[in-house]
Amino acid sequence: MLVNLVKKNFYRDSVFLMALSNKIKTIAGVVDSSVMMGTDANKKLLTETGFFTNEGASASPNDLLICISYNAQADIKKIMSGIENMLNVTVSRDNAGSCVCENPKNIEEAVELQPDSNIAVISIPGQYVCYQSGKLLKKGINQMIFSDNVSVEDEIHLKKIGVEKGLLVLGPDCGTAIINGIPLGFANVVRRGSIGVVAASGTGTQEVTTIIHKNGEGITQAIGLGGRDLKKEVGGLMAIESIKMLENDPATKVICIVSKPPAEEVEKKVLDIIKSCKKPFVIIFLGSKIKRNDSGNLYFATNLEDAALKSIAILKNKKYSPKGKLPENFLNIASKERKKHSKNQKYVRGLFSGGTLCDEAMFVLSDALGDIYSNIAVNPELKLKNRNVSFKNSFIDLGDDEFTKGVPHPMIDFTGRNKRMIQEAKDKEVAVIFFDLVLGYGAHPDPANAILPAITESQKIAKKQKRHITFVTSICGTDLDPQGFNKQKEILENAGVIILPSNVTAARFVETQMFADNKA
Amino acid sequence: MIAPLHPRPERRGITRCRVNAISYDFSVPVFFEGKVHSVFENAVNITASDQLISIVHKKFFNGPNRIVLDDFSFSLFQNCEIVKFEQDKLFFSNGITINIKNSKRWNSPVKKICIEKLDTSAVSYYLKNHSFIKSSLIEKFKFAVKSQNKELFNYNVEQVLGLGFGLTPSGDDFLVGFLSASHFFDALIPFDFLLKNIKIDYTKTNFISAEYLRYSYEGRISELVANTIFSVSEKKASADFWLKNLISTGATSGYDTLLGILTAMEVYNACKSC
Repeated sequence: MLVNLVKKNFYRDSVFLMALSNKIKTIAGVVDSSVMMGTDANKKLLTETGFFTNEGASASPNDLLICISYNAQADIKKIMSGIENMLNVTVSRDNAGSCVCENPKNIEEAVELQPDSNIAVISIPGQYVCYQSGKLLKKGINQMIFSDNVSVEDEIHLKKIGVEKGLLVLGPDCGTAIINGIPLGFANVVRRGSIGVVAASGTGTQEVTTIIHKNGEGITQAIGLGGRDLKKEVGGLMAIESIKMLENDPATKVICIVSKPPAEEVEKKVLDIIKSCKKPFVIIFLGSKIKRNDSGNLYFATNLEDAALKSIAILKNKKYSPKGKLPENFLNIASKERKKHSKNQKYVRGLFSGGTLCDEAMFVLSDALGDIYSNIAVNPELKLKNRNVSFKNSFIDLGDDEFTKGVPHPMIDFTGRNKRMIQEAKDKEVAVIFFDLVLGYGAHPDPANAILPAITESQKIAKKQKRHITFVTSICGTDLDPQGFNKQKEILENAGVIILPSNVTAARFVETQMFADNKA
Repeated sequence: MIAPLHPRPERRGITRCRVNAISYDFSVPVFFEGKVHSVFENAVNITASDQLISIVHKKFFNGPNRIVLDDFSFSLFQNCEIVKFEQDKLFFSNGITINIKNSKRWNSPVKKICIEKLDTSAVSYYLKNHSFIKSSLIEKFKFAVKSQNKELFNYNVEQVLGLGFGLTPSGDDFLVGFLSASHFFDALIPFDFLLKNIKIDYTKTNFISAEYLRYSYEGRISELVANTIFSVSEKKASADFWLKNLISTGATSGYDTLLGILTAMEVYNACKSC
């Protein structure tokens, strides 16, 4: 008896095919077999050798043609099933070498492995995000898109599908989120609580959530949107979806929105939706100089710390007065530090790993210091001509794309920032070096010890020149973070760094000190 | 609602995998979009605009449209994944990136051989008792080339094209060996004649095999085959190394290719002695 089996577009190497032919012969009832590609020459050969049947006629040169002769008494179904099992053997992984990847290797396998998962983190080259994200949306899976370089058209397309299906599409370029207490991307370990955060800023989210934690409260969710969601093109698609989700979430009592000022029409649309909600909203539009008044369930904050503390006050139904002044103990420290500087030391250098923290610091200090030069300055006149060389008061966002091409982000690798710190310390006109230190998942495992050599070296340089440089920072992190907040704080304090409770307070500390200097 | 979200960060899939290639063929297109055609234990084939681009383990050496990698788990690739090549990087839609920016650029080395008589003993020794192609067919090839009979030659080509075992059928491997060697010997009129008049109906074999045939017809010879031909013809000390590597290719592919090379060498000797 003869049977031919055609496997369409089936490619296996010659060794596999030869082995297959021999293995088939071991199946009970098989007398002989031949496994060949379905070329005309092979079909002719198989015809001549009496192996060919009409079933094999459909084989093309790109198909595998399996010809079997078997005993009349044999169970052909069992034979065919045995062959199918042999064909389904996956390519061996014995030679897996230097590749560091782990299973699963595609979305289908991932979903099969974890069928109850309903959120995915996408971190792949931007041009493929739409394809993979589309697959996930079809499967009803929420997603955080960490990747950047995704076109705005793709973003709109994916977010529209998300809205239609009631799924979260966080990002692209969403670096931070905390969903159901699980930090995703660069995020801190924050207590569960009653405040929901919707943010179009990574370090903005980290600063707000950690301050909430430090002040005894917690969050329900921190939903990152990606930097473009509130721009005109995207129209706040996911901001609105997130607001609706948190409004309907019984665990969320107060909602905090963190973003740069949105496009005017988007702001109106979002605020109109918020006004129709029942829950109180605290809103911080970072860097906006427009005075917005609280009304109804809308409460506006002026900085990240203000947003966090106002949210807590509303949650606790307590009266809130913004922290406008520096605490007394820090005023004394500022005064002492100021006295250590010479008259020539008149500039501040900010070295930040978080773009939002850099922005916020510049915003707070712009009135006191006047012109602040930066690689991320919006005003072209204040943009540093050479990002590697500071000028007067300069604030550098070392996490900006231009600094991270081909090298790790400064939250992970301190090499670039340390080098820059020493460079700034050599400038005799520098009085203050202001930096951020971010803890949490994704960040350096021991950032204080990572930056310590640069601080020590800078201090040595200053001392040699009979100068004193004030090092100011705030630690964006919690006691639950893997790096340990108190341990990190202790290392920096021992090195003489002045640590403020928040980025905005640190900026005010610098303001107090430098403003007094300028006046002098 | 947010409540049903169940992230499990402790189990990770591919998020990022970047690999540097060792070398690549200079003719790999500088920009293309394609998809994974087939995945093997030590190679992956990509089709882009009807071209075949192969990513192979270093043990296969350089070759036409080939990118060579060090140890790598090729099973991570999957059929039909989308592939984009731009700015010296090959991006796979499952997150794998292959970078060729600092890789060695390879070009097919065809050196003309001009020797009175080729010593075929080493090749014959390695071929003892191997090959699917009948010796009578080989004799017909020799006769057709020597007599410059293009009809007979193309008839013979037709007879072996797509014939035999393996992904690249033995007949095709034989032709690859024969055509490759012809480029080294084409200073002789019969080989020149052969390369000008050969007609290969590429639809008579599978896509991968057809591409290999096309490369050898165009004189784009793989490093392994080229070095085998050259080292054997010039009796170089490295001949043994290349011969051993060639015969260990595939199940019978190496032997069949070597038989093609031997046939061309014998034609060369026969023509030289005329």
